Amino acid sequence: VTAAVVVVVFVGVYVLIATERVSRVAAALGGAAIVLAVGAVGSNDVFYSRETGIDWNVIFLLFAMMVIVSVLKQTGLFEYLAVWSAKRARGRPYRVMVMLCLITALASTVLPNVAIVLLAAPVTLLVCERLRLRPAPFLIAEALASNIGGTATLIGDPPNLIIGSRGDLSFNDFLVNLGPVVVVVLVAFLVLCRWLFRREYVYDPARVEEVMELTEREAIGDRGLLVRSLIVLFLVIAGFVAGQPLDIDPSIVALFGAGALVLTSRLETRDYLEDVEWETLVFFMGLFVLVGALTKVGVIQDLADFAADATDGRLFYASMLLLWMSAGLSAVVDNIPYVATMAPVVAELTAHAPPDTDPRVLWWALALGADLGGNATAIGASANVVVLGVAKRNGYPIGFWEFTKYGAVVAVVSLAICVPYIWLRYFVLA
Amino acid sequence: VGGRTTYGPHSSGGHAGMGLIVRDWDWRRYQRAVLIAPEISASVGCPDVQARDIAEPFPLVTVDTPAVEAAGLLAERRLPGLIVLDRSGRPHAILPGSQVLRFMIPGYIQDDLSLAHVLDERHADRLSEALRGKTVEQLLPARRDELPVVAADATAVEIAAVMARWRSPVVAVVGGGRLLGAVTVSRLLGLLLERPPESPA
Repeated sequence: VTAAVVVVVFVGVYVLIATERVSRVAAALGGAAIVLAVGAVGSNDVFYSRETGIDWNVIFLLFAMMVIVSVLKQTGLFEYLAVWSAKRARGRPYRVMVMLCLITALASTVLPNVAIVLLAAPVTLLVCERLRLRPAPFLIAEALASNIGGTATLIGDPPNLIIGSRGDLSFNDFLVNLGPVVVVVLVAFLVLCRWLFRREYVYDPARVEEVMELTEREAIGDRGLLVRSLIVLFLVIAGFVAGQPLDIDPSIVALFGAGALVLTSRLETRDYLEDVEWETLVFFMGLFVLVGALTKVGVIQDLADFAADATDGRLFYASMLLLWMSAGLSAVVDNIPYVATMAPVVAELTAHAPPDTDPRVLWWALALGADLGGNATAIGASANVVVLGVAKRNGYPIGFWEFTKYGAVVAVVSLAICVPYIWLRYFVLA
Repeated sequence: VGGRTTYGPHSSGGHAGMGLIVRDWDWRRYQRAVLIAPEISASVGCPDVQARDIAEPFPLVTVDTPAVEAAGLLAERRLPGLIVLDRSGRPHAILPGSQVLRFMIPGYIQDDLSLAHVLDERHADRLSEALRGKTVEQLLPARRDELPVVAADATAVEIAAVMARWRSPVVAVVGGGRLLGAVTVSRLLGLLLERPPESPA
């Protein structure tokens, strides 16, 4: 009976999140409260269990990265790079788009996607207005580039944090296994942009002077803060890379980095907490309690058994199923709850994978599907939703279908690139 | 009132002494949340002053007044804001100068202030283009607070409380169904600082 109640509550929460009838935080916390009230899990399960509890590793890693981005934002570095790149592109629209997408994708590998698109959007609007270009294609391309870039690392996209923690995968594991395919996907995406937005690259050469007149150096208000922030960011990334051999969790590295930035920046509390999305952190906590309840009552084990039977222990089929199913679901529902649910299932599958295979391919398939699938629709990823909001607020509304018609093409092409990559790397050349 | 700029009572600008008749307008509705204790009122040093005594003639615009004209009026007369009338001639809103600037400065620069640094002077010259072809109605924020208005017998503290609550640099003064004028923040501060409260012995 308890298992049935937990499943009903879980499905109900999912429906509420997908339909946005109530805020996702309220839905997740409400569901968590019910599973606690019916005794499916207790305080020990919720707070102290690695299998069924709140994953504090993920919560604190996310929190620390949000603090780091709050401080970095104050430096004006992103604005400097964006204006500099638009000037280097000499105002040619396609070149400007490529430069902005490259910066966005690169920044998204080490900082949260939402923060990066929030930084990219204003400067993009400025450049587009100067060149009298329609900003929508540029904003859409940046959101897509951000989701692609974020796929490459452990800290690039929230689903990767969950996968890394549940799968015991390090920063280096992500970089080595997902980095190469993300580079290929990014190059393909930039080529695709030439065709997708081909009608948008008409510009007036006389307007280029307006971009060249922008003074990017002025964007950097406090050079000392910029230098200190870049040193700390470099050390944090070095810490992520060195964390695996030294057995230091990424969350600890990120917390040290956030602390160092807070101390050296000498910013006010409200400034360095400005970009902490408390809602997201609480949402994660509620989700972990719900998924923990599913694990405790045995539903996750049943799901894993069913998936193992369905794929008959064939790892390639299982990885393809995970890749495309994750992409399809992540396109229409939030990929965070999806990955939070699937992570324990994949953990079970990898634990019982056939010998002489590398079962981690299932984790990579889950990450690629969930992250890149988010590009398919306007609501598939948080970065997409944020870009739509910024565009609307500035008088350049982007419709759901306008985004989706480009995003769907990019998502399908990206996933199609992942198929031969997975096959060759983990099955043919393994 | 039409789409033109007019003036409140006692103005030397053309409608002196006429006042503006405000029919069927329950100004008390706008004051319901402001409660002022008499002892506080007495402590500021100017308990006898009432809004009607310090109300000044004030330029009025309507929702249909061209935005450029309204901005020009603010600049020319160095006003902190304007009283906006609706199409039936009733006070509709206060248009503070800062709201006009919010309309002139692109939203993305307000989102990211460091972008203001990268713009050159030539861009500053073009900011006023945003007002062209627009009316005062379009300058007003979509979601407005209630109209900052006080009764003719409102005390200095009541006026200050209304100003502070709505963060408005101007408060309209209404009495007998007429718009009697307005009190500006500079006028009120001058009055409040004129007679500071006595220091305790």
